Amino acid sequence: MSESSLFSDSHPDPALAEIDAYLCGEMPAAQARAFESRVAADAALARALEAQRHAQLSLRRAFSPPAPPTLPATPPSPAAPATPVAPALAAGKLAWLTKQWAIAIALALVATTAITITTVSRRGGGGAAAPIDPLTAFAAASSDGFKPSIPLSDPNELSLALSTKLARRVEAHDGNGVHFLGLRTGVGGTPMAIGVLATVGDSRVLLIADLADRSAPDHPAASVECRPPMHRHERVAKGLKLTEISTSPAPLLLDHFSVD
Amino acid sequence: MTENNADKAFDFATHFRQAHRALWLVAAAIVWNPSDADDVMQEAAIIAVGKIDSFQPGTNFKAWMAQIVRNVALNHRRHVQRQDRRWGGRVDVHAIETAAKPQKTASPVWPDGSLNPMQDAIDDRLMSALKALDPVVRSCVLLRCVEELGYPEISRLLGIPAGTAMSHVFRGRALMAATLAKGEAVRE
Repeated sequence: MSESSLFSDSHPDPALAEIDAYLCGEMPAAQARAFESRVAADAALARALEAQRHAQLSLRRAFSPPAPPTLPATPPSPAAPATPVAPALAAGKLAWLTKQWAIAIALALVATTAITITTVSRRGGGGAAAPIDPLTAFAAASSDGFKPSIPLSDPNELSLALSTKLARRVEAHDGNGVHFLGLRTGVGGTPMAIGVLATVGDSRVLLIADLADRSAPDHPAASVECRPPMHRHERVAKGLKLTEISTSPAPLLLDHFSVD
Repeated sequence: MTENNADKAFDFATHFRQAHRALWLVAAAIVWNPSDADDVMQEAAIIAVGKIDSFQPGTNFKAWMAQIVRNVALNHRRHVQRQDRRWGGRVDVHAIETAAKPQKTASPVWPDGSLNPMQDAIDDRLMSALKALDPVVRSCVLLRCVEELGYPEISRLLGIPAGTAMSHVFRGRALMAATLAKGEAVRE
């Protein structure tokens, strides 16, 4: 990218336009593959892409929208009038109801803000049911050196803790270079979501176990989204959604868990 | 309460939830502070409920609500600026922290998957650079980079042409790239 193009609004750098479309998932698959090949061969383009990815991560860490407030579906109802009211009175009543509605919303929002403040202060922690972003989730888990809040390296102890927290019988299995580090909260998903930190060989792996809809059909491990350098793989088993995030293009940890 | 108003109340709650993330980013882009953005969202929601009768069902709720959020956020910003002038400004804790940190930059997530320990300093530098931009430019950048909205959607939300939204995003992206490159140069 040329220096002269940095602030040219009318003629944006074509490489920047491509990077923008690629990072926002607006590039068709074939074009994205061709772009990735060019990135692999062009160091300047690779640096430009890395800078934009880096900037997006920073923005997401700094400005992670909180979970939307739970507002009452209907305003609090006052005592219902026993007899029909005249139109003029009805209009007055309506204005009063609007105030009631506003107060109800204000209370709901204030309650939500208390939760939001703790979420924002953790920097990168998503909202209550925010979709899991691979980069943000991994950054949150790595923010203090990939340390678990509950250290558990023994698979049996880890299984017991997971089963207790998720109200499902979950069994974790090591082997094949898998070394469990422990559990960690605040990694995204619903409030019930719990993160499992592990290393597989030299790779650090975050697995997020989250309760899915019980009627959700089981599906085996599949790569649902790739945002290099991080990859995301998902599996649903017995109403439990397992999301693995690591730098590996293939799942490393997903199949080391069984759910009953 | 009439049935019609009950419907409207229900619609507001549902639509507000659906639009919340994008609207919060619009507020955050203007006031440039997550806590202030929360305050703006509260105030905007209360104002919107009071004006719900002026919303035409079938039109774009998000755009209607975004207009209110923008106005509230701009008022909030002016209020803060007036207070800053009167009381000599807030203490910029971020600036103090940044000055105390080593000015280095590198990839946010390293090849082994760990987070760059300098990430906070990098974030602060990027935020300071973006703070100098116009709030509309910042809104476009946040809606695109955080929420990954398409340009037509950003255009509707902010009431600007899609081409303008695109050039604003490119301007912000170029600034961020230049800021990161400057950090690299300092490191080398």
